[in-house]
Amino acid sequence: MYRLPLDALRFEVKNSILYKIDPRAKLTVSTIYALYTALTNNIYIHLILLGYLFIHLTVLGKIFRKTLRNIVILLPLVIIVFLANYIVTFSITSSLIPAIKLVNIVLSLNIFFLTTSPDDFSMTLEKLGFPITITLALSLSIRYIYVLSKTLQEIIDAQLSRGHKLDTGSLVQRIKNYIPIVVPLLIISVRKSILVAETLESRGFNEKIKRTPMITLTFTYIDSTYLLSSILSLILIHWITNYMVTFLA
Amino acid sequence: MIVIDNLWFGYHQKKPVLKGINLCIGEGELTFILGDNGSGKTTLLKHLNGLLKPNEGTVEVDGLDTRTTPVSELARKISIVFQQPEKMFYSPTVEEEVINTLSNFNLRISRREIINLLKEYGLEQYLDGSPYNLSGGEQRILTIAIMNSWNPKYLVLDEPTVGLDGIYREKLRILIGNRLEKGYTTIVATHDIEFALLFNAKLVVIHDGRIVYEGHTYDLINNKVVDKYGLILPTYSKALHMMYKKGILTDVRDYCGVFSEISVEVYRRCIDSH
Repeated sequence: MYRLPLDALRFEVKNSILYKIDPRAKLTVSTIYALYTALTNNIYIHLILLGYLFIHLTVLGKIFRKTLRNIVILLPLVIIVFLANYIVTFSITSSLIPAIKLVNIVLSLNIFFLTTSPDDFSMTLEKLGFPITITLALSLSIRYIYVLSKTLQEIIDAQLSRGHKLDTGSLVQRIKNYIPIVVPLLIISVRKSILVAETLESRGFNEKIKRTPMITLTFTYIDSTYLLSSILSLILIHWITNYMVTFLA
Repeated sequence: MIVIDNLWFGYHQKKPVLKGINLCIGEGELTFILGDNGSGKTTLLKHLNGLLKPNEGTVEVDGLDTRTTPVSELARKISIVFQQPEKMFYSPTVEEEVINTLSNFNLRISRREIINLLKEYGLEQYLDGSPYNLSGGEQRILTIAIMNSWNPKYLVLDEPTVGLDGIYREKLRILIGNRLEKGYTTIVATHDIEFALLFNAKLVVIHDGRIVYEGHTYDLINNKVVDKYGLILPTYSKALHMMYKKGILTDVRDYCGVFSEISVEVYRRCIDSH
């Protein structure tokens, strides 16, 4: 049975704090956490940060399942990173650091990407000064991941129904078996993009005219509180862990 | 024979789409599955060739359990035509599209046979053209032609009349009629009550994942099942229904054949069946 994880690709709004926070605050927190994780090489900090990010996403975002699913999807890559490092260094601790670092960077970015709708994402970029053509293209691309995955599932169903076999023959033959899936998907994608362009033009879209947004992003005291408390939490984690490590040593 | 026994299925465990479907479709039967949008018609059809596996219950096609039989094996017996025909095409020409489909079942077809097949549906001029250059209706009828080309024992059509003009509807009617005469089974899931009324067929109405009515297509004219489950009768049938309610007409056979060409057909078939 060839079933794509369509639900994982669909953006769902949940009634949680993270979904209501201004995307600019979330983007700042995500970037700071990801950069900090990338630059730190302390195993204890990484382990505490892993737990902290998990709790952050679960309690503030109510996205336990999505977070867990992302980690499970990432697991093969994490294992490869760990093994590759182990072969070179022969040290479990030194090999664990890049592996957990990878998970932590993904979890940090999840704070923004899993809880921000394509519309909010586009508005955030517009506020940051990106041209409308780029922000629109990006938000449309994110939106179309789900739409095209659904199309892909329907193509697979149609091809299987006409007796097409996907997992038979040699490796080359198996790759060839996917031609009837890829060709319709490409044609439908191109046709869909032309249709979207025509729809936008017929609705009066013009990049040269400055648009007036119906919904504007407002930075409230809740967003500031979230931003400050998140940065403070990171400083605390850094300070306490370093203190504990020095104290224990 | 297709036997569906207590079929439960949901894309999410907590939200079942099909809730305990029990259905038996005999050989040589024509069955219409009617239901409102989101009632579970397409999901039910996808269980027939094993594209979806039941969460609970079983689906058996000629004794083969769809949970354990590969889709490729079932596909030869049971041919499903989905709503969007363009998702099936990948070959540069219509001719190759027919050849590629039949080669999946180790069947061969000559160019002359392909021309004859396309002639039946009025598509012979597109033999060397790309299937993507055809109109929506033509693509749909081509898909049906291809999927019926090896005379599968069971043909399943999902919303076959969408986008078809009068000529292609008539060709589709003839195709279904021919299959009935040859003793092949056809299952049609549709909203098109007017099309269903053309046939002397079994009727299954699905609402909210459950079978709420089983009977005959002619039951649609005078049965309350239509208004209750979001199905809308053709205008002429509504007029007949009102006359029936007011006592002007007393028998379903009296008011068939009064208004349109379609109702004449319904009337003729109604007489045949009684």
